[in-house]
Amino acid sequence: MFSRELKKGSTELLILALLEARPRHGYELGKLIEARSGGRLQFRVGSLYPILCRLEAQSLILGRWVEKPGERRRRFYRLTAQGRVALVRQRSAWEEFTGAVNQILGGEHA
Amino acid sequence: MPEWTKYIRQNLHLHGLRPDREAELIEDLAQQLEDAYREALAGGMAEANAVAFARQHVPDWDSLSRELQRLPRGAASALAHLQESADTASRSRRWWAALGGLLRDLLFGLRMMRRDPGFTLVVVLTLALGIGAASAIFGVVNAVLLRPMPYPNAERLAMIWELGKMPNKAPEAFSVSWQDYRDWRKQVRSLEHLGVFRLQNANLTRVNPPDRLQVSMTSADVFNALGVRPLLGRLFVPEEDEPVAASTVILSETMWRSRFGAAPDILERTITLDGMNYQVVGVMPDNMRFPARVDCWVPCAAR
Repeated sequence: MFSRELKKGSTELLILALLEARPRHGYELGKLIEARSGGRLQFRVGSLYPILCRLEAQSLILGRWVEKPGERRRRFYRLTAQGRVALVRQRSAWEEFTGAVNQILGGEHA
Repeated sequence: MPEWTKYIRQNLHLHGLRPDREAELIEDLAQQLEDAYREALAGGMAEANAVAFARQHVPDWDSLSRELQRLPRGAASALAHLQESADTASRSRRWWAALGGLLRDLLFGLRMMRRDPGFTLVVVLTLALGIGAASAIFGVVNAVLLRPMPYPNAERLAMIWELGKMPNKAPEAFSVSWQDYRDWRKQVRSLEHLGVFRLQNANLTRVNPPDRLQVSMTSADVFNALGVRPLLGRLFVPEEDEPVAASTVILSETMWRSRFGAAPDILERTITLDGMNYQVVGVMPDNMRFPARVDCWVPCAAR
């Protein structure tokens, strides 16, 4: 498991990336992160939800209630045009950052 | 099933948030806790353990309350944020955004239609039938109820029937007899004009080819009541309501043009209807369609 601080810096990027393909509801996002990381990254509702709300307040994602027959309505979040731009920027920044960190770590070993 | 909404309201403390936004937050969170609870149940957990598992998703309510409270005030919902932006945006930008949205919806609709042509066909046919039926009904309602009759003082026109009462039956409307009509004419003081008419068919002969005509037997006052004027010649006069009067006829404009080539001397001619000669005394314009679109009018007493 990773430290809370380490996870914190990447959560926004993870959410934006998972919403790139299609809209998803809040709990689904947590489960997807857990599944795709092979269980190494886990987010509880209590830590993921404020980030969802913050991204929505920044207009990077947009929540919309979806009702299905026989079920309680769910709030699905989708990426906005602004969110797509932010995702491209954050992805490239992340790649640069991890590349730089890897370079340093590799340098230590060399 | 646990009442997650109630549980969240007991633990989450938000101040100054719009009530509708607060209700949305709570509903969204409740749904997520319920998802966790259901997942635990599906995984074979006992009810109490499933509840505990879901509750562990928010171990620190004070921390969550603080974080939600820190969200930009008034822009807690992206929707609210978008609305605020829209309010301040220029009118033309909003117009273009609306147009873009409309175009996207239209393209989406077309894609959906192409995906399922059978369903599209059923929908289009249903709409076509519905619109067609509504148009037809409106056409009738417009002609019968909405559009005024093409006569001056149309609101003062009325149709009168006799009411026949049969034993053990609802009263029925009957045509007025000639004798009753004459009595009414003598006695009624509240009507300005009182006329009668009757539709009938007649054979037009001594022309080539002969023809079957729609004829209206009409008393002189019908024309006065309607306030119509002839295209050529004159209307019937009260004397022509009497059986001893000479047989006269007023032709419709269509009849005059189609069967008599719009002859200028038509008022000097006679026509033969069912073997009887009728002197043509007038031609009515085509907009006179009372009591229906007929070929000619003859006085009531003529036949």
